[in-house]
Amino acid sequence: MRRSQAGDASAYKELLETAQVLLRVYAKGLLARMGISDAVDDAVQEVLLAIHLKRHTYDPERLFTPWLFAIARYKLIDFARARRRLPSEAVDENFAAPQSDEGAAVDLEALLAELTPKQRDAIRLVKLEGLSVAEASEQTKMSQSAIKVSIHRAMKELKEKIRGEHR
Amino acid sequence: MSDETIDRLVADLRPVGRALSPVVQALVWSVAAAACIVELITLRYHCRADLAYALERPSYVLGVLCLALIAIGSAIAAIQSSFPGRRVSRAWSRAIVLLSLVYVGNLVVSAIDFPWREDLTVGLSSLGFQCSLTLLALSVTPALILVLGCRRLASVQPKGTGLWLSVAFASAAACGLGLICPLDAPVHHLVWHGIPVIALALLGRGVGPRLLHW
Repeated sequence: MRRSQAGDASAYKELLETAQVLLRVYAKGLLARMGISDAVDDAVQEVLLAIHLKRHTYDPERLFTPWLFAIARYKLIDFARARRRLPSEAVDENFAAPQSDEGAAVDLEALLAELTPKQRDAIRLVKLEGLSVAEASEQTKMSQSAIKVSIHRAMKELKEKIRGEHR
Repeated sequence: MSDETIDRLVADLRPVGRALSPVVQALVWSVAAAACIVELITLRYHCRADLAYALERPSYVLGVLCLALIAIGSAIAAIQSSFPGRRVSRAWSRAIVLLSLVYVGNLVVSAIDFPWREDLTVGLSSLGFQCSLTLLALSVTPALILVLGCRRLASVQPKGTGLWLSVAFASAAACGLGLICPLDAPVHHLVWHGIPVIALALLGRGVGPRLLHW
């Protein structure tokens, strides 16, 4: 995200693609709890647009995922409200819920649990915690190319898994 | 479909400057709010005639200081809560509540020395309504600046943000009102200066979701 804020298009594309995978899982779970199951694509697009418009509010010194899921929760509830005309009280209860979002974490953890330990570590450190490949390499004692390969394979597996669930 | 969206967003990518930290933004707002309030006092109202004398009284200085700190602290909280993924810590909230209690406690202590009959007569007089109107007038510009500042960010807790920002601008206005209002009766301060702040805070909490929707 730091590079995206500086205008790096390739880093931004990679970030949005990764976010899209995570958001799909999250949106599916959250919208299903609100009784909406046929609009995950539309909802994810709304969240991606919100991320784009509010990217200046991200502080690279902090973790990326709390920022991402806070925006996602807000926009998904907004989306659900528009779709179902939810009473504002129902939505406010959701606002009052903890922002770490246990539901999303459980879904995400379940998905990550299906990866190999190396892939899981690589995804967690680089994609979720926002470390550079070099920093992740140092922390896991894996080579930088092994980290990149693990991320590539993990992302491919995650996409296939989500597409499979989505069908 | 999302892949097309991603391509469009990437094509639209421009470098963005990161938002300033909540503390810096709140300090900028405080300076701007103070300037607006002082300007309005100079143009439309007048400082109380005995301001120099009042400033020698510790209870008066403590009251004004508490309101100023509540305004700055609440502005920091409002801006902090306008950043997705961040929350106002309990310690921060408690500090602001503590400052409010010090303010009320200071009024209660002042009431001990104040002739109670005069205090009640002055305090409950409808003349105080003018003070509430002045407080509202003083709060308009600081409120606009703070709402626009928070809207530029992305509040995901609009009720909380609405509450904090209302407390901030209402306290700033009450602080300015302290420079105008010549009445020192503690009941007057509690009723005509304090209740509008609480009312604005509740109103802000209520309209926050609409006002800060993005």
